[in-house]
Amino acid sequence: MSEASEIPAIYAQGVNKIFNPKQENEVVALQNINFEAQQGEFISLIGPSGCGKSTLLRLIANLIDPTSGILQINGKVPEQARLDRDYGIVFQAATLYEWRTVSKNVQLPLEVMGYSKQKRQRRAQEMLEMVELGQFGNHYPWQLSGGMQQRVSIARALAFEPKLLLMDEPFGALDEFTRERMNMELLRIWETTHVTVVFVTHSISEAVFMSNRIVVMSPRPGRITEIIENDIPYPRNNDTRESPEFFQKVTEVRELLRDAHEV
Amino acid sequence: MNQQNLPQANLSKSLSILLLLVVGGILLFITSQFWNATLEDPLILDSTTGELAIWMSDQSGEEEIGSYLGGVAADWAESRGEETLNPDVILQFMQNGLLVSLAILLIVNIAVIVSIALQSGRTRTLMLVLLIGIDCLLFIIPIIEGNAIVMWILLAIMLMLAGLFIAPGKVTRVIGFFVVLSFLFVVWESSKAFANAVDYKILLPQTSWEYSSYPTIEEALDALNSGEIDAIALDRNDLSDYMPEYPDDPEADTAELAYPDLRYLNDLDATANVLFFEITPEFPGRLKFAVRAEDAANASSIRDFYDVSLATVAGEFAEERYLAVNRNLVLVDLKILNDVNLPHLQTIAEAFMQPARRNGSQLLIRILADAGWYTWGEAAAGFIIGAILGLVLGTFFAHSHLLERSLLPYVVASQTVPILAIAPMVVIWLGASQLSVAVIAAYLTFFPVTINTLRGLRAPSQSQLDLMQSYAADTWTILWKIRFPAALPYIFTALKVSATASVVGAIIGELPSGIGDGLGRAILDFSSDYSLISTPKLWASIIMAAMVGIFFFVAVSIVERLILGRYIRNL
Repeated sequence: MSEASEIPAIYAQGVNKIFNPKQENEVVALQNINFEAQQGEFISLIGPSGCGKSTLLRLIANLIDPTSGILQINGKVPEQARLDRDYGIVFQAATLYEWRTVSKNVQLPLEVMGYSKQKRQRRAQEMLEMVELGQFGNHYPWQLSGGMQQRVSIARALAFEPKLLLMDEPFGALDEFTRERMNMELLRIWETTHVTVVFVTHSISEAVFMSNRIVVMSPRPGRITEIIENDIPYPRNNDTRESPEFFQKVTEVRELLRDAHEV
Repeated sequence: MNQQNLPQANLSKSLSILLLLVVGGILLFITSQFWNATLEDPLILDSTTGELAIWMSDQSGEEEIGSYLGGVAADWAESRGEETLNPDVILQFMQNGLLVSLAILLIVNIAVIVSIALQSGRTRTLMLVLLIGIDCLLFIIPIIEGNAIVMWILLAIMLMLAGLFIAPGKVTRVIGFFVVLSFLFVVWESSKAFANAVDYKILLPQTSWEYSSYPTIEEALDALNSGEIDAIALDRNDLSDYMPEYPDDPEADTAELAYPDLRYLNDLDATANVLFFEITPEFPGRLKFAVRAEDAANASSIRDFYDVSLATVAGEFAEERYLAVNRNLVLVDLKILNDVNLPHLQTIAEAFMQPARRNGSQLLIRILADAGWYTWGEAAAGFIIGAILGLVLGTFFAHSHLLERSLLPYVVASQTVPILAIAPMVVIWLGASQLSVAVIAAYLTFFPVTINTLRGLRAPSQSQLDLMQSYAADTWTILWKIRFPAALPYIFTALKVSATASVVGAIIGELPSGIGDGLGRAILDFSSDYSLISTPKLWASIIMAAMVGIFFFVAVSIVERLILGRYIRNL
């Protein structure tokens, strides 16, 4: 981590995103976004719907291009980062390919990247064991519950050991219990892999529990209102959720969000 | 099963046993009929097996034997030291065979009853076997005037259907298929029986004539003249000798006529139809009415004479034919159900088991099977050409909006042109060969494949595609690993449609190509001579064509199941 750690994982300066520019239905999705994510950080993007947090994630993933501004991923333009397979991405829906078995789903990025069959299978098995689904490699997606599907999708995103993990409300569709368990599991994975995580959520407690920095955003136009340092020590566990610092941070974020909403 | 349900379960149990006992009684009755029949009995002689036996016996004496069954008969004759096999030998064999089959059905019947009593899990399977067995009887036992044996079989089938409803267990696809098929057989035969009973018409009685008859024309005309009666119906040529026409013709010479005060009506509205319903018997055109001159202006239609005191001259016409026959409105014409249009099931089965031409050496079933195989070959070639074309076009369209927008309208337009118009051109262009038939079949099949491939390749969700983009996958990888697998369910749906359409296309394509070995020619041949002899053969050809289509469909479905069955639930 000597050289890489000096280059920020994400560097954004004055990034704007305007949909349908100079047309009647012009929408300013993001305005003047400035932030930096260091290697190995766990960063949450939080804000009400329409604040552009998913758009920002898609900009980082190079699924769309910024209208203006500077955006760098690991010191490269986003397209180069994508072509270099610098990041793995997880969407709100598990987005498994229903004609592939669980193992084959995890292997898909490796197939695209030209790994040998043996290596693919070994790697898929390792990743499935990491998300505690080692027994389910030969199942088809419909045979799995929603939480299990999302775990497969995380295993797939990490299968090729990207430096950056982008997550777009990954646990938004899960029930509270499953969500909390998945939070713990994701933290465990993050601590073992040292991957940088950008985590989009609209759950305040989730953001506080997971991340070391919280980017609070507000809508119309989408912009960053505040970046909060969250120094609750890792490893965090169920006791963390009941600690006073946790409540304090949650309150802090909630008030910021409320202020942003009232402006 | 809880205690409360028990009485109901017992009721359905005893009810199904009762049904099965009645079915057993019917089977016993049919068995006794066959047991008692002599070899000359029409029950044996006219049955499908009987007719087959006679043909086999004839074949055994031929110099060159073309068919398998003929060969069997010839060997049999040889083993008995005969030149030609005595038909009685085969008839006896067939009768014994039928008796054995009936005995087996009776045993199955008993097995079903035992199975119901023991609440075994095999009840429905056994009942299905019994049902199919009884269905088969419909195809063997001949329809003989005054012998209600077929009606008893129909009753037995209905009881079996009721039994299958009551019996416990799941309705599988196979059971469902045979239940519907058996129901169809029952509807087929019973509607034919009904139509036969009402003489192929459902009638509504209408006001009829009330008439008196006179020995001679003169007496009748005198009675009209004197006011005794109001009208006379007679042949127009006879009437014109006695009186002037109405309306009066100023140039006609009426001085010589015998009854100047009477008029015969030549401008009557003779159609007595109600809306578009026909009325029988129809009023004969040569008949005309005569009335007194002062009444002539009041009569304009035949209907005006229904209630008047009408007279005519005594004779066949009055007493037996038109005037004496009750007039009826034909509500429904059932001639579609007569033996020419809709033969008995046994007649169709018999057509299968008889030579296509008199004294032919091949049974129709063999000829049609060969034709079906030949046609399927053409259809399969067309199917493959069409499927490949459809896949290629669909793939191009999915990747290029320009191509889709510019070419898709022409693809759609191609399907609005009737294939009957295209087929002759293809034949002239490619020659009267199997290739042109395949191309015509492909013309019908490429369209659904194109449309569904296009639809299927666009089926992956945006996030599924985004994910591939995040892996920096190229277009080919996305097509091969994501779009194509996602499109497969759509493509197979299209292929199933195409499989049946290709058979239709091949049959139509055979007609202008003049290809004589396929089903198209067989259908054309048997429909050109529409008669009691050829319509059963036409039906046999239709059934064979349907079987080819079903076979193709099922084959594609099996491939679909093998490929998609693992990951699609409830395929």
